[in-house]
Amino acid sequence: MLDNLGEDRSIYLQISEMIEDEILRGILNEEEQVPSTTELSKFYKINPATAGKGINMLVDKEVLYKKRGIGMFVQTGAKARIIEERKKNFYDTFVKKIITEAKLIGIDKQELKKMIDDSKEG
Amino acid sequence: MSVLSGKNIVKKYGKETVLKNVNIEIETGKIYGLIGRNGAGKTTLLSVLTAQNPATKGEITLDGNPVWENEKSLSRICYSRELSPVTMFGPNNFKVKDYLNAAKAFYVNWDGEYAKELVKLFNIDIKKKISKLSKGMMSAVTIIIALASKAEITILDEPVAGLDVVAREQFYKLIIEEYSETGRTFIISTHIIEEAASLFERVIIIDNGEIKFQENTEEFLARAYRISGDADAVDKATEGLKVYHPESLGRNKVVTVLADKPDENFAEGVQVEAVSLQNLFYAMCTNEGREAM
Amino acid sequence: MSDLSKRAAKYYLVQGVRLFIAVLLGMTFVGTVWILTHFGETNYVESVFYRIFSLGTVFMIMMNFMYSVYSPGWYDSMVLSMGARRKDIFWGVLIKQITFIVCYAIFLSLMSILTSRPERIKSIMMSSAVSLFMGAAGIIVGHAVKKYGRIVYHIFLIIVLGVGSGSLVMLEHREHVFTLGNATKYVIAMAGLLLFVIMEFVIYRLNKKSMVA
Repeated sequence: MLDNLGEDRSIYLQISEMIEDEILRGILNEEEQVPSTTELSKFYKINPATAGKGINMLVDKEVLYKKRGIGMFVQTGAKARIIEERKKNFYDTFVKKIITEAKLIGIDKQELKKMIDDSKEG
Repeated sequence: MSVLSGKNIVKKYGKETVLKNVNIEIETGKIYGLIGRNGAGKTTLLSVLTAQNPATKGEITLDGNPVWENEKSLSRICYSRELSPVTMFGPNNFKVKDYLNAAKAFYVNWDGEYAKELVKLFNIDIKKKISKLSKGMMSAVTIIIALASKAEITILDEPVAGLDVVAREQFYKLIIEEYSETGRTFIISTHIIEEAASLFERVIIIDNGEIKFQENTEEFLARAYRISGDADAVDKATEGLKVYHPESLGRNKVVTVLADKPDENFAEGVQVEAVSLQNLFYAMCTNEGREAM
Repeated sequence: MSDLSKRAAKYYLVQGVRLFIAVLLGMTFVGTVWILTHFGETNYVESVFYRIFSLGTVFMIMMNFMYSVYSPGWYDSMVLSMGARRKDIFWGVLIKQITFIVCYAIFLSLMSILTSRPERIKSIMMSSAVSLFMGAAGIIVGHAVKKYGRIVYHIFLIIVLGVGSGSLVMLEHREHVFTLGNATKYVIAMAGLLLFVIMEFVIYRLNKKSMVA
């Protein structure tokens, strides 16, 4: 049973992304402990092996590290690493979609740029 | 890691063949989901795998040792069946505690304390007769026996039938907890697919007495897609692929596809979405008249 | 003996004792009612105990038969579904029946001795033998019921009632029936034993392919 996990992408990817989001937002700080796979799997009602896969992926990305006998912790510099990776993927993940939709409804590049300039966000 | 394997299993009841040449492998240390329609053969398969029912043909082994009448194999398995409020002689007058006492006698690793905790959790009156239990309570007893058996390979047949949503969530939590702690193997057969789908490391789909798929859930779903768009574009994009449950509304067509490998790049002009296990299963079942799964 | 066999044997032994206690309670209840209703009559203690005794010997046979019929499709099915082997069930059921009969026989014998009727022990022995015999018959009927449905049970009861009443009628007209000499009794006993052994073989074979109901 997934509460806010969707069916669009592999669960373990969603788990790792959520943890990355929390790091970016400051909910999880560097050198802080991350919930265990058991806690994660119970919280999201998913297979512990899947939760473990998500965690392991983050270990491979050097976002998390393991303190033997204690658990998983956020690595120093993790935030920076995440930002760098996401910047690289930003175009494919988000921008492409905006352009496709804009094309579909006939918004040209000028209008799009104006929207961004006028935007009150960020 | 151990393997419970069934090779070339055939099961006939009289003239009816309920299991047709089934080959199945269960590796320990994983949570399996067994899904199939009513009458597909789930219970029969589980009965035969656990030697509670003799196979007409075929071999069932655990680590190469036969399961049939074999103490060593049987002591590692628990198949907790749905309880029935009636027997062929009238209402089932066994009390819950009769079942629990029998379980204690026969399951080698029975954990009485854990059973007590679970009885309290599910609020069961163990002095009550089975015939007087609600469907939810009967499911709860099945679950209690399965979990407290502490068997290496634990099988639950429709464990959440009759449980309300609160109890169902409780059940999933219990399985996750127990699995995290002990790494026990669980095989759960269920109709309520979507809730449990993310629990299953591997999924087994049975239809009409045959196993159609037994795969890693994630890898299986990674190659399933929902393709929609203009009918011609959809047909072109899905040429050569296994297509299920085509639906049309005007010129818009939606199909469910199972590709050979994941992340296929589909042609432009079609929308590609992921499919949940339940929707994939539904699409396969409602293929009405087309080729079987 | 393997661990599973021991556990199965223990389980079925306990079931045998429990069945005995249940029947005992039933008899106590009936006995109490009788004592109360016949209170004050001449020799009422003697007659009540005779009634209890007769009921006891009949119950020993009837209850064992009935619960044996329930065994294959119900009790044993549950045990089988919990990982017992079929051979554990085969021996377990025998243990249950014998435990039941032995407990019952001891109880009735004690009662007979305490009421100064030690000659009744012979009837108790005979009832025990018949009970064991009917227990085996019950299991075979039970397997048939499992396969063909309750109708088998009803048919069997009709047959037994028919044979029973037929025998009673014959006994009424004793002069037309030869009295059983010792030799004949012996032959009947041997035939009974042989039939019993045959039934156990049949049961073993039926049990071998049994499945959870």
